[in-house]
Amino acid sequence: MTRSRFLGASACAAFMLCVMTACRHDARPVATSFELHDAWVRSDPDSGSTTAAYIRFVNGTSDTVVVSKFSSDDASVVELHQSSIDASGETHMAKRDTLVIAPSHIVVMRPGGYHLMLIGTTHSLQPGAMVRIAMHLSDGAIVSTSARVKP
Amino acid sequence: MQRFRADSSFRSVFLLTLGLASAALAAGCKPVAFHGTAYEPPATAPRVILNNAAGGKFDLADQHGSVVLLFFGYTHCPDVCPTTLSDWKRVKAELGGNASRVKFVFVSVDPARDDPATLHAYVSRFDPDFIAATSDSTTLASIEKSFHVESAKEQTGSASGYVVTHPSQTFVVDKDGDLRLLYSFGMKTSDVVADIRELLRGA
Repeated sequence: MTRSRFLGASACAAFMLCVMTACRHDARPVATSFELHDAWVRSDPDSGSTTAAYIRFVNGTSDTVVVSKFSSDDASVVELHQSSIDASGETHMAKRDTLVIAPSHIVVMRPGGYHLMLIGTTHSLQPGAMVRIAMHLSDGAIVSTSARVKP
Repeated sequence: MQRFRADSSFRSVFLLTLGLASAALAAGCKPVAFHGTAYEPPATAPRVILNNAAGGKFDLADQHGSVVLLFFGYTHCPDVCPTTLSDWKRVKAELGGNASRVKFVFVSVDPARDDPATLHAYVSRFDPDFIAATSDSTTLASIEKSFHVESAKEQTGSASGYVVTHPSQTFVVDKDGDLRLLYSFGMKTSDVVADIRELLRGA
């Protein structure tokens, strides 16, 4: 192999290594811990009623995270529910006991899917206000987030 | 020579006019490609007579001249129903002046908990122009059957009480009273607005 060919092959190999490294890096979740993002609550002017909250759960750890209970000072009860729409277009809602987020996975709550039910709100929830929601993990840890009230 | 020029020019104008007329005719005859699922052929919408919050009646047959969006839900529904009403709010805003020719009708299929006043207060939170209506369970079941949908109470063990399984779609009736379109949950505002504008134009 001539010197120029050797240099060419080395450059090509280095480039491929960079590309592969970059790809592998991109495939990793940005987070390296369990994080809560983009939490929001639908506004409800009436105290004592029920409204929904949505959160994005990012599990950047190598362990499965199980949320076994939810709570908030702004509601009597917080339940995990899941809406689903069947083939005929009917929407069903089921109460779920736990939310499981696999290692290196993201679970996005959104209308028509997973959501938290804030039942028995303790006061009027007006747009712009913040609601604190706590996630009780199965290992005993508590992680909380502030959810913005939106119309 | 002069005569030839005049003939040639006349022929050109004639052909151009013919071409434009054909194009216009073709465009006019071309069926509108709606974003929503279209009922083909369109047929007269089912009979819908409900109680409104003012103690009067809402009759779908009386809405001729307006495009009507119809949804079956309930006020204790915290997810799909308020999302649809929020979507409608955006649709109404984007329609601008045309919104006055569109009726947004939220039908409660949970009359046990949604009396007309409760229902009206809930729907008005999203827009006071939205129409809230309901009836007794027998009438509601009959109306839903005519739209080929149904609702049912379900116990989930939730502290909020029972939930109601209900249709997630929005039905669209045109200004002639024909059932024309069906939107799945999570409809894109710009698509709905484009379709409604076509229907208001007489598509």
